[in-house]
Amino acid sequence: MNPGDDNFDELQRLLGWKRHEVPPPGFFVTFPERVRARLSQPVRAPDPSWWERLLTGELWRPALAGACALAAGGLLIWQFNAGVRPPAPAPGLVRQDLSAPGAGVLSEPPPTVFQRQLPATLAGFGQLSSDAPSSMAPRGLFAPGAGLRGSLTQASATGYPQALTVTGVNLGGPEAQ
Amino acid sequence: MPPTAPGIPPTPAVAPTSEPAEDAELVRRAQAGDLEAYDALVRRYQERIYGVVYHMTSNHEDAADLAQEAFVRAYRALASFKGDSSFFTWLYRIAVNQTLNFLKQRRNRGHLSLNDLDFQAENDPDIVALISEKTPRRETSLRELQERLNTALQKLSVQHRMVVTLHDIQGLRHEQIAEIMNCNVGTVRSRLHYARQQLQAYLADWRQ
Repeated sequence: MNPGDDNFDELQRLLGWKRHEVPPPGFFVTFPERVRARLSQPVRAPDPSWWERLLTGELWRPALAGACALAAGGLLIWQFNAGVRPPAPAPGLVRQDLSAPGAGVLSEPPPTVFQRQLPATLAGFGQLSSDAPSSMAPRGLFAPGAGLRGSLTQASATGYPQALTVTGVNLGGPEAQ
Repeated sequence: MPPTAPGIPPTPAVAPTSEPAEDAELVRRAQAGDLEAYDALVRRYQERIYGVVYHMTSNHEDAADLAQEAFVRAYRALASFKGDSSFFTWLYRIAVNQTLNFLKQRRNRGHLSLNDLDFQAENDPDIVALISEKTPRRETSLRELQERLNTALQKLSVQHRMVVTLHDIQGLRHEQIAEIMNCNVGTVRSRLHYARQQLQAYLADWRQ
């Protein structure tokens, strides 16, 4: 065959020879049956497009589930951290007599570094509420006459006070100062 | 290479002399749900549909699957067939489009899985003239020729291969090919000419 020749007779004869290539014997005998078997099978729905999957929630449901799991995990961690923190004295549980000398004065001022390092929610931890309503303080909560010496004595290395005593606190007992 | 058992006719060389009236009646019955009628249409066109897919893929397994799928798709789309073209052209269009899509998705060239030659192949006068009489083992030479020819066809682009398959192997007219491939006759002619030139170049050293 001459590649530059535009006479394709020889090539056409050669291509015509491909018609002698035939499938295995019996192929065309069973072929209609196979087509019929396929036709009797239920039609498989085509794969949905991305927007169909979006509408049916197939796409955003896993994302939503993931977000929920993340939020639940975050909530658990937050609660765990909150449980580790020492409980702050409830305002009003301690009544302070501000008229007494030295009342409400911390014997030793807390270190400023400690205050700066405290998170915002804990910044006022060492300060006692002086305007707590007296009605909120249950009388006789402690033994009469028992007073707490108020001083923020020491802050631990973690920034939390280890002991808290309040000077001149009147617990409301009849013998209180 | 053992020749195929007698009784299996080669794929028809020319376009089917379809009987439009018979086809139309079978199609009408198939549209009404008569599977026997569709069976008759399958039997009528299975060799040609299988042939076009096989010559495009040079792989029997792929051709069997694709031909089957083409008939299944045609049946399911039968309600949309209005008879604007012949059933033969419409069916061919489905098979051709499906095959082109398959070949585009198949990134690398698939391996050849060639069918056996029928018992008439060795006696084909055209082939006898082409194969050197000096070849000591003609059977080997025939097999080699078959592989060379299929390999050369696979080197063509799918559009060029399709035109060669439909025209030079299946014997369809330019107008029919244009209708099936949804292009004009001039495009078919130019593609055919280019594809033949390419094939001549690929097969140039065959006899050397």
